[in-house]
Amino acid sequence: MSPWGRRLAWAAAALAAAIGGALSARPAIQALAEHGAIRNGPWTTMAATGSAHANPYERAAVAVAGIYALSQDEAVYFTAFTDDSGTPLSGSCAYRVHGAPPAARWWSVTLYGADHFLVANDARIHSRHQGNLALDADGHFAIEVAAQPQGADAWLPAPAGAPFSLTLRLYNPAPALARDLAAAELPAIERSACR
Amino acid sequence: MKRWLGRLAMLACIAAASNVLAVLAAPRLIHALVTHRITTQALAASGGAQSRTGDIAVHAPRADASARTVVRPSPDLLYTACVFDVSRRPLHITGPVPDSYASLSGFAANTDNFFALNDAAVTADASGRRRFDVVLARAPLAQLPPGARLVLSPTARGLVLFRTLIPDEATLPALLALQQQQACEPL
Repeated sequence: MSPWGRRLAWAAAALAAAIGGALSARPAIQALAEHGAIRNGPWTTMAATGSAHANPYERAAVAVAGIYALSQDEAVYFTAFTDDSGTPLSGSCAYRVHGAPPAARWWSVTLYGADHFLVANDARIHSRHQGNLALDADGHFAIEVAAQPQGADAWLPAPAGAPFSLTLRLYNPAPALARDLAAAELPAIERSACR
Repeated sequence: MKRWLGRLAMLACIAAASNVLAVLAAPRLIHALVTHRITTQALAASGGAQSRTGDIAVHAPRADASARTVVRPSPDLLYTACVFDVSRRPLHITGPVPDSYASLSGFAANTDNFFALNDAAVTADASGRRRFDVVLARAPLAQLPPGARLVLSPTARGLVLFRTLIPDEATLPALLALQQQQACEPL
């Protein structure tokens, strides 16, 4: 190969390396953000959300999947992509999300599609929160997450046959909860039936 | 052999540097895309009556399945956004405080949340009214509007966001009216 040919080949290889590096940013963001995530049952969160102390990969992960999230002083966001057994959430199954109300001034559970946006449904229900959930005699709530209403619990419509995720928002969380996010008492996500 | 190893190491360095640069740039690029969407929608909603796209409050409709401006919106909040540029003039941000949860927060150009103020931290003025009243600036100011608190922005450009909780459907009409009073104006 001539000297010019070698230079050209070298420039092409350098360009390919640069493009490859840039294209690998998204999986790298996801992998490193997951590595640094705090896990609590099926729920995950990042303590550095919204914070100036977040590392570049955490900051980028929040920008991709939850831009303009508030820092932990104001709100905590837990997201679940799986049920309690670790199986990905799917609109082919029904789930019961239940537990004691989280220790926060205000909280909600919102359902999102795989594209991170709200899912269209005839009932126009996208979330359940402390203002529209009844508590049982033990002070616990229950939400039925399924493509079709299942029973007496509050229904949160899921996309039929499609993957989805849940976000638990806690505004003004109790200081004890915010101090130890991995140990906070959070709702269970039990799969009850699949089609 | 040694020369080839050296070249491979250099290619690996180029790939790693490119990866880090893309990660560092991602929040700013996504922020730029989202603020572009917000200002475009504001211009469209004003039907051309609006002369500027920044430093102005954009009152978003309640999020539903058609909302595509910002990922993972809460359907239980009303959002008002102000895309700001305080490089030349500070921004005066005001809005009434409802009885339920509400907050005012600021996001730098890299999407860091550099301040958040919620309803519980706002005290009533002499007339008994509770209002968010914040001046956002790059540097300390000699004088502030009466009752306003100063917040310094780490970047000249960014986004201010009002969040207003809808605790129940019956309160929605009153909260929509309150949302219209949330304002951002250059000082």
